[in-house]
Amino acid sequence: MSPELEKTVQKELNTISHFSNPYISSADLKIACGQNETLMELYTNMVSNCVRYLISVCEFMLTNIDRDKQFQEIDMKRKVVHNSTIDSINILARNLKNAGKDNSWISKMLGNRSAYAKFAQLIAFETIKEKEIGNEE
Amino acid sequence: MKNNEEKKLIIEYTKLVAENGKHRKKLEEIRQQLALSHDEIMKEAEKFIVG
Repeated sequence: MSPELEKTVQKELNTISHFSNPYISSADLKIACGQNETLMELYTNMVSNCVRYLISVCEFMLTNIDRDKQFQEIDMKRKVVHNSTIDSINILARNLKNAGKDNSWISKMLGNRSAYAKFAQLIAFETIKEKEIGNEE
Repeated sequence: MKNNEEKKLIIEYTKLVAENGKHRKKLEEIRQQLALSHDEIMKEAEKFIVG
């Protein structure tokens, strides 16, 4: 690859995501689910939970900045959504394994809530960037 | 990130996009207030929220 092409590719990658997902990207996960209807349904559910989690994190951060009295309520909501997001990630990973697909990425976050949180937020960012692009059409 | 007001706008923008991205007018207002493009706001948000 020429240095110019490498620079262009890197620029494109930077536009897609500021961080490289250290676990597995949304696109790679979708490819792993392939044409399997059950896996795709679980993938869609997991992505939906990741976006919900990002929204709850945003609400939590806004409440924190404003020193809002509803802080505890919002924090509880964030924790509940975090738990259901972790469940959906684990369910997808187990089903991938049962279908004979690679799920080694889950071992990097097992038992680490903040790793699940980071993964969920990265997946959510990948998803919402696509959403916005779609709306521009 | 310079101040709380900028942080709030970036988080609010991210939340609106995540919710459904249909608040086009509000999203445009925030982009103008911040003088940043969608990609630039998303990058800032990612650094700020995930990082």
